[in-house]
Amino acid sequence: MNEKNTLFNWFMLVLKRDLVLSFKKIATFMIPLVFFLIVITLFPLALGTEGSFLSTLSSGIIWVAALLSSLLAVESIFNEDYRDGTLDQFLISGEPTFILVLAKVLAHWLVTGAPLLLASLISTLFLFLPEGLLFPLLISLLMGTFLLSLLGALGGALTIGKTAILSAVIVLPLSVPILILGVAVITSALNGQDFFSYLYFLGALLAIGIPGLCLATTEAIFINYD
Amino acid sequence: MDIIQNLFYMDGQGKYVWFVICFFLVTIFINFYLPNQQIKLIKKEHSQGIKE
Amino acid sequence: MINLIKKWLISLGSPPFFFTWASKFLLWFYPISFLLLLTGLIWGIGFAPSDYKQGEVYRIIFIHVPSAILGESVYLMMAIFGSICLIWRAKLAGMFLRSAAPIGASFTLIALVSGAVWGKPTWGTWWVWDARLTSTLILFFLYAGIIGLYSSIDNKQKGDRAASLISVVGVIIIPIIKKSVDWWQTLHQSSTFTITSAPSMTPDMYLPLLVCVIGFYSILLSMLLNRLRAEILARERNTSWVQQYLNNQMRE
Repeated sequence: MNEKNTLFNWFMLVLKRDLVLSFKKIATFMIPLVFFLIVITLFPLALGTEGSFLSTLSSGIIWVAALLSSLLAVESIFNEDYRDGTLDQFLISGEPTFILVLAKVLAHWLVTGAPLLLASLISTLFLFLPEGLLFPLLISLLMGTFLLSLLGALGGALTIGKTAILSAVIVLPLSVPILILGVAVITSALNGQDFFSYLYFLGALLAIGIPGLCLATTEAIFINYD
Repeated sequence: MDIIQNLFYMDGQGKYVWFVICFFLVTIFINFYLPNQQIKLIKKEHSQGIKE
Repeated sequence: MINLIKKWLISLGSPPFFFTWASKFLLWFYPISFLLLLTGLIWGIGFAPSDYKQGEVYRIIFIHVPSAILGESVYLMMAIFGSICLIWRAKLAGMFLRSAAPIGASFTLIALVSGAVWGKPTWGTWWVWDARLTSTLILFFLYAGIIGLYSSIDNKQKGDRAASLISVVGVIIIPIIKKSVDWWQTLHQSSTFTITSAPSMTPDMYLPLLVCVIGFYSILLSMLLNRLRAEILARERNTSWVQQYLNNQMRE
């Protein structure tokens, strides 16, 4: 019997579908990236273009821009499927919704979070990030953006059919610890301390977050169908 | 031989110039390649549609 | 004579006529445009004398300056055809925007990247926030926004008109880039090309640059016509003339 495979097949089905849909319209893939870069650009325009000044702010600016662009991009997770009825079909099908949510979160992260890591490389040039902080920045962003996708899915599920700003307002306060931890990784690296302790903390959040937040998101989806 | 060496290295700054040249050529190539692919795809779909 | 030209221009507005004209034109123009481009590039990069201050690295100018000029020109063209699309609802004008936007974005990207790579050995940094560079970056963002806009709208006509509107509005940035060098104290070198005053380079250098600019413009024309042909075929797939054309293509 293929019992063992069906969960995995279901996961891959949803994941592939979401990825194909996102990459068909180049906009879904490109827009969060460009938004991230624009937000980065706004800071020097507003605050001043001194190299030394910007480099002290660089890690914080990159993190805030990452937060904003991943959370504003959550519209694409559930809204389209809700509108054309695909979400109904997914729920009726009897397959576990938990896996559906997990697949959708992964798809969202691959489309918004992963390109963001590449864009953050460019933004280190724009903001003159000090040498040696590149690795802590990338790894903290790697874990942080996945957590943000998890939270974003929760926000998106709660606000199906409404604007992205509403879900951002709900989720941003919840994402403050991620922001604080993420920047702490980089500042402790700047001070020459061992920054791995903060990474373990982020890892713990991920470990709790993946099951916990996906569970919460499935509940949130069902609320919309009462 | 000397001329080619000079052209390649450009007194140590060759890497910058050649990187820019390659980046430029790749971008131009992509801009020609993508529409041609599109046209090929349309022709292929059309011939498949006729065969059905 | 003028009437003939007018008639020909108006007939160019119909997709089938434009398509056949563009296909024929490209047959002989493709090689010419590549020839012009290669002449300019090889002359500049291979044969122009080295700069007194910057040595050999300044040769990036032969790619950087034409790309920057083209990035701005394409946006201007998009604004012009955008207004044609909005005012007269010409389908071909709308299709022009979809063809031109990625090309303009590519050239702006080339200008930014070549500028950054040029800046590292000459100014010591990959990037600096001066007026000209910032305006070019913003131009790139404008392009990205337009591309994102029309690719997210399913209805093609609506997408065209939305993109036309935003390119007309955004065209104000072009004079700002031109004026930026006058308005702000910048690190960036002062404008190499002005129509009224003499260039600040020796003829050995600005002649190949001129040829490069001409070469780039001709490549631009080839690219635009090529993309427009693809766009026309894709959009008008269900019309009889396209079916006819594709049937003829199949027989070859």
